Amino acid sequence: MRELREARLSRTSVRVAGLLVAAVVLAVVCVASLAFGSKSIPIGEVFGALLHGGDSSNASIVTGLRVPRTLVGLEVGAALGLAGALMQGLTRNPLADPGILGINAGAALAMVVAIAIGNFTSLSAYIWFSFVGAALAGVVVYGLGTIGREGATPARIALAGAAVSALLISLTTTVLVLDQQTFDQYRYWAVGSLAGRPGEVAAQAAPFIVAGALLGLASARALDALGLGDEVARGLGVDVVRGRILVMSSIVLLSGAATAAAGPIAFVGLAIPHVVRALTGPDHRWLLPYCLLVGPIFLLGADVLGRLVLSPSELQVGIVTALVGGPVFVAIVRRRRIVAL
Amino acid sequence: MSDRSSHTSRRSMPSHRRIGPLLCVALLISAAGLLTACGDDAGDDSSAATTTASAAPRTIAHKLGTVTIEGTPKRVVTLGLGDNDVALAVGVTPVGMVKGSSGGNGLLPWVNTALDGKKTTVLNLDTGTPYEKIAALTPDLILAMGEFSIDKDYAKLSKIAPTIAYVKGNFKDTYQEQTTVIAKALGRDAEGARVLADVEAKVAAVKEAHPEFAGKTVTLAFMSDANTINVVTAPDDPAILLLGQVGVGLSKSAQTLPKNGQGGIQGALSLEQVGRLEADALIITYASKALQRQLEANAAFKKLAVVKRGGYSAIDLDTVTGLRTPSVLSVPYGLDKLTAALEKATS
Repeated sequence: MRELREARLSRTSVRVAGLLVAAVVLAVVCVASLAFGSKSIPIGEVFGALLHGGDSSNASIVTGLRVPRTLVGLEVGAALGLAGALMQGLTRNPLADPGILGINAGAALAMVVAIAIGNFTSLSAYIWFSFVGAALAGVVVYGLGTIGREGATPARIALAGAAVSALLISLTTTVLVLDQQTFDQYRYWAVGSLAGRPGEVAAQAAPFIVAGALLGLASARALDALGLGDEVARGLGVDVVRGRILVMSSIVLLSGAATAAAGPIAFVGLAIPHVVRALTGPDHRWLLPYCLLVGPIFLLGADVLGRLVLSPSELQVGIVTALVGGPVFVAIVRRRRIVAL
Repeated sequence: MSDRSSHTSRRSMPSHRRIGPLLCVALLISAAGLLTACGDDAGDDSSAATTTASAAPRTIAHKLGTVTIEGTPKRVVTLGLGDNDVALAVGVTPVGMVKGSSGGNGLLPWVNTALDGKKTTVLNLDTGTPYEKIAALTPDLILAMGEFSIDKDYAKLSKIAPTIAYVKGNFKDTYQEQTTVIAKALGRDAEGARVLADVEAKVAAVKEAHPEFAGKTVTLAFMSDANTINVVTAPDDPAILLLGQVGVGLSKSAQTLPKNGQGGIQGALSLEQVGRLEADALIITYASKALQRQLEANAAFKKLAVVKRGGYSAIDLDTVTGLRTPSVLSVPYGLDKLTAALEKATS
C-alpha cells in the first residue's frame, strides 16, 4: 500500500511540476507576443510602453494592438483547448472539435446574417451576433440529441451536431452565393484571426470564458465517469444527465465566445487534447487544466509565427494553426495509439 | 372478411383525392415559373434613335475572333464595366448591362446618370454568366471587351450574337482603345472621338488649374478587413496613371512595398505597419463603415503626418472601381473626387 501511495504521490508531483512548467512557458509566449510583430520594435521600447505607456506610434502599437491581441489569444486559446477536451470527452469521439457540435456553423451563419443585414458601425455588434448564433446552435444540437428515450448519448449528440451543421452551413452558403459583398467581408472572418478585433473584445468575452472554464473544470470527475459508460457512471453515483448538461453548457460558453471573438480557428480544440493526453493520460482532472494552459501556448505561438513570416503583412492565425497543427495531428495519430477515451 | 371491402375501395380513389396532389404539383410548377420570370427585369427598351450612325459594314478583329457588323446594332448587351460606359457615352442604351455596384440598382453612379431614367436589364455576372437571360434579350451585338471571364464565355456568347472581346489582353486595353473599338462597332466613330477628346481635355484642364499638384505623391489604399490594408503599388495601375496625368506620383513607401496580389499590383499591410501609408495625400477606400471607423480611431493612424496635416480622404468603393477600370464616364467622375481629395491635401 505504501508503495502505491508513494507512486501515486510522485506521479502527482510530476504532474504538478508539469503544470508549473506549462505556466512558465505560457508566460514566455505572452512576452513574445508583446515583443514580436510585423513591425519590429526594439524590446526596450516594448517594456517602456508596457510600464510607462507613452505617446509614440510604437508605444501605441504595443498597448493598442499587441496587448489586446495577446489577451484575446490567451482567452481564446484556453477556451478552445479546454472545449476541445470537453467535447472529446462528452462525445467519446477523438475527432471532436467545435465543428462537430454545430457551434462553428451557428457562429458563421449569425455572422453572415449580421454582415448582410447591417451596416453596423462597430465591430463588437458582429461579435455579439456570432456568440448568440453559436450558443443557439449548441443548445439546439444538445436538445435534438436528447429527444427520445435514450437521452443524449454521445453518438446522438454527434449525429445531431452533424445534421444541424449541415443545415446551417447550407443556409450560410446560400447567403454568401447570393451576395458578393457579404462574401468579401465574411471570408476574412471565416479564416480565424486574433488581430484587428476591437479592444473591448477581450473584456467582453472574458466573463463567458471564465464561467465556461469553471464549469468545465468542475465537470472533470463526471467526464471520467461518463467515459466508462452510462451504467457504470450511474453506479459510481454520477448524475448522468446533469453531468452532460454541465459539460455541454461549458462547451457552449467556451466555444461560442471563442469563435465569436476570433472566428473559427481549427486544430486547437482537435489536436491539443491529444498532445496533452499523450503526457497526462485520459484522466480529466489533469487533462483539463493542462489543456487550459497548452491551448494558448499553441495559439499565441502560432499567432507570433504568422506575424513574422509575411511582414509587412500578416498570416492569419487560423491559417497557421492549420498549417502547423495538421501535420502534428497526423503524426500523433500515426505514431501513437490514440489514448483511449 | 370485413377487411376486403376497405381494400377494394382503396384501388379506385375518390376523384377529389387524386386531384389534390396534381393541383399541388401544378401550383408548384407555375410558382417556380413565375419566380424565374421575375428577375431584376427593369423592363427593356431598344436603343436610342440613331442620329449620326454610319451604317457601312465594318470588321472588328479582336483577340478571340473577328466580327463583321452591318447596319446599326439595335439591341446591344454590354458585359463589361467599360462596355457599359462607352455605349452610353456615344448615345446607345443597351438592352442589358452588367452589374457593377453592390448598392442601389446594381449600376455605378455615372451609369445611372447617363441612363437618365431609361430602362435596361441589369445582368448579374457575379455567380456565373447568365446565358439564358442574355439570349432572352435577343441581342444583335454583345460588347464584352471588359468582361472578366470572357475567355471562358466567348464560345457560348458568340453563338447568341456577334461578340467583341478584348483586343490586346484581358484588362490590357487602354480605355482610349476600348472607346474607339466600341464606337466603331456601334457605327458612332465621331461620337467616340468627341467623347474621348472631351475627357482628355478635362484631365488637361485639371492639371492646368492645379499647379500645386505637380510633384506631390499619393498613397491609394483599400482596407479589406480589420487587419489588412491593401496599397496600390503598380506604377501602371490605371488609377495611378490618371493621377500621373495631373502631376501626382506614387508615394515612395508604396513603391517599396513587397508586392502581392494578382500581377503584383498591390501590397498588403497589417495594422502595425500603418506608418507605411505616409505620402503627401492619403486616399483610402473601405470594405465597410465599421472598418473606416476602426482605422480612423487607431492611435498610430491618427499620428501619421499626412493625417495630422489633413491630407487623408476616404472615398467610396464605387469611385475606386471606376478609377481602376477606367472609361470615358468613370474617369471624369473619379477625377472630380480625386481632385477634391488632392485639394484637401495640398491646402
